Amino acid sequence: MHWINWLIVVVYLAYVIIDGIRKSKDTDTIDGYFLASKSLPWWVVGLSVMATQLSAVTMIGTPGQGATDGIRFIQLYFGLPLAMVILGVTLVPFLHGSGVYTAYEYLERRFDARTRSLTAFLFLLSRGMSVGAIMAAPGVVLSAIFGIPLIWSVALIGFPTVLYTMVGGVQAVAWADVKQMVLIIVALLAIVVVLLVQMPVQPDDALRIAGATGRLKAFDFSFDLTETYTFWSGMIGGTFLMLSYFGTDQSQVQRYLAAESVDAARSSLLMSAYWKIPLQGLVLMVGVLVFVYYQFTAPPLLFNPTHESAVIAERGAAYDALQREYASTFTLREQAARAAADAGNEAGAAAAMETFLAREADIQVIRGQALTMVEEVTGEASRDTNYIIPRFVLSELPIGLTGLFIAGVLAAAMSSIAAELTSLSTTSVIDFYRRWVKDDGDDAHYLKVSRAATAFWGAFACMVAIYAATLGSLIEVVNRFGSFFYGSILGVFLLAMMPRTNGTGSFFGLLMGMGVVAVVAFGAPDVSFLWHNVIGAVTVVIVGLVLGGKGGEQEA
Amino acid sequence: MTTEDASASEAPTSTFKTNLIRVLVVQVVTLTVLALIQLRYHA
Repeated sequence: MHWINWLIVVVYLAYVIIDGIRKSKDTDTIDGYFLASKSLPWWVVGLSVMATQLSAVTMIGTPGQGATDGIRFIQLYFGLPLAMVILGVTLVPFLHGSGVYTAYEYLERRFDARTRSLTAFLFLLSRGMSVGAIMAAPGVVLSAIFGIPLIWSVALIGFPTVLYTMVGGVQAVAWADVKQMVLIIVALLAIVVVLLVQMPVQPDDALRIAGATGRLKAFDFSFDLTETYTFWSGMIGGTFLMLSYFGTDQSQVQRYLAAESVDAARSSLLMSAYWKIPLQGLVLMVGVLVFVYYQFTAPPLLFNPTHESAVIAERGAAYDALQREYASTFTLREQAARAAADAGNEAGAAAAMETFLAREADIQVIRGQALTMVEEVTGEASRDTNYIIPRFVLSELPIGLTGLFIAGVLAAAMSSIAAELTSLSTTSVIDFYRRWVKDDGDDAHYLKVSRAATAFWGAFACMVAIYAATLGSLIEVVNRFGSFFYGSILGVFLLAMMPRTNGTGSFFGLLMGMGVVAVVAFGAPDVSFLWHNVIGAVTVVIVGLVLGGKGGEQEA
Repeated sequence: MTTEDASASEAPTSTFKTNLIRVLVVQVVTLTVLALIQLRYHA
């Protein structure tokens, strides 16, 4: 990478650290450290919520998905605006007004200590592992792209993040998120402009080519429980998922607990409601445009450089032959794509597009052979979707913009990781240390413990990220386990807003909800994970109401 | 519902209402654009 690009990355990292430490004033109380003394304006909280949700995977994996699979992934977010509005008028006023530090703390006030501790423990378990995965994803990609050891790429992301999170708490994280969000948007818009300028065909023709390959289908109205992304899974399953994520996950809840008022907290969620779908659309369209761009500029046969090197080393001759076949087939596809673009909507356009699709299918067959070769040589999964955008950025973007995009990827990674670290630290200290170990400490003591907890979770995340390759299956198990209880935890919070239940109902409802989801997940593995959230939440509410019964009415 | 909870539940104010209108407008525009793209370009 050119030194100017490196300079941009270094300047960005230095700025994030210095600015984060500068924002650490007023963090000498736990109220300031965990909740920014409830002083943040709605737009800061809103941007922070969005930055938290936008991880490095969104910057590199989602456009890659757009390039290979099109924009149908956007349906996952169709339920988000509705979920934000529901939370804005229900859960947010409860949590913000109750003066708690964590969402789980509220559950003890409403139910009992065991419900609080179980939900907080489930959060620590899933988020502790997932923060490692969030760090590992860009770490592995940057390591492969730049040819640096994984430990360095993880350190590049992890060290500055842990530093400013540990020193500045939520206030530093939220303000850093604002700047990081701006950087991310600028980087994405810059890449779109470059793509449109460098594209050898008109935007209308580019979209026709993308549409012919099925990449511009945003709505799928089929009601199929095994299909992950449909309009209905997005609207129903997605709503429950977003309700659970934004309403009960401490990494999100902590953001709006730091808002200056209930109204600011509600409004901050609505910012996600109106920006999320257009933003995801933009990210996916970047991928679609990269796909069209690669119809006219030869892409590498394999996008993952590590896999490419391994295959060349082991099966050089066979890979060479495949590359020659790929080059000649690419030329035919390029000619077909130009002919399809030139034909426009005139007579013969359909035939030209059909020829192009046949050539595109030929390319996919050759790509499939190369990916099979990767699996045979490395024994690893060959999917290289996450490498499409980094390879494009490094080889096709002008000097300066490459650095800007890499800084954007780091910003996306850091904003998500920082939020996870603060929430893990807060839950560890408030829901466990202060609740079960020492409840009579002063602010200085809890601050010391909180900073130590942040450092611990940061170090833990780095360790998980570094050993991600060997922990691959474990992370998958944990993520799958996470989907077992996400909806169930939402069910507990729904119960908390109902009068006719009690601690017994919520605790056993939670256990039953997780059990039913586990049965569905193992008994009917084809059912999309989005429906698990619906099943879990509904089970908890029913069991909670049945078990809670009359006792709940007296308790409430 | 506890007394504390009830007092926490404030009526939505102007910023919230303004943002709610924004949500509706942006969703209608975005979904319409996505639908038009699909209708025009999807094979």
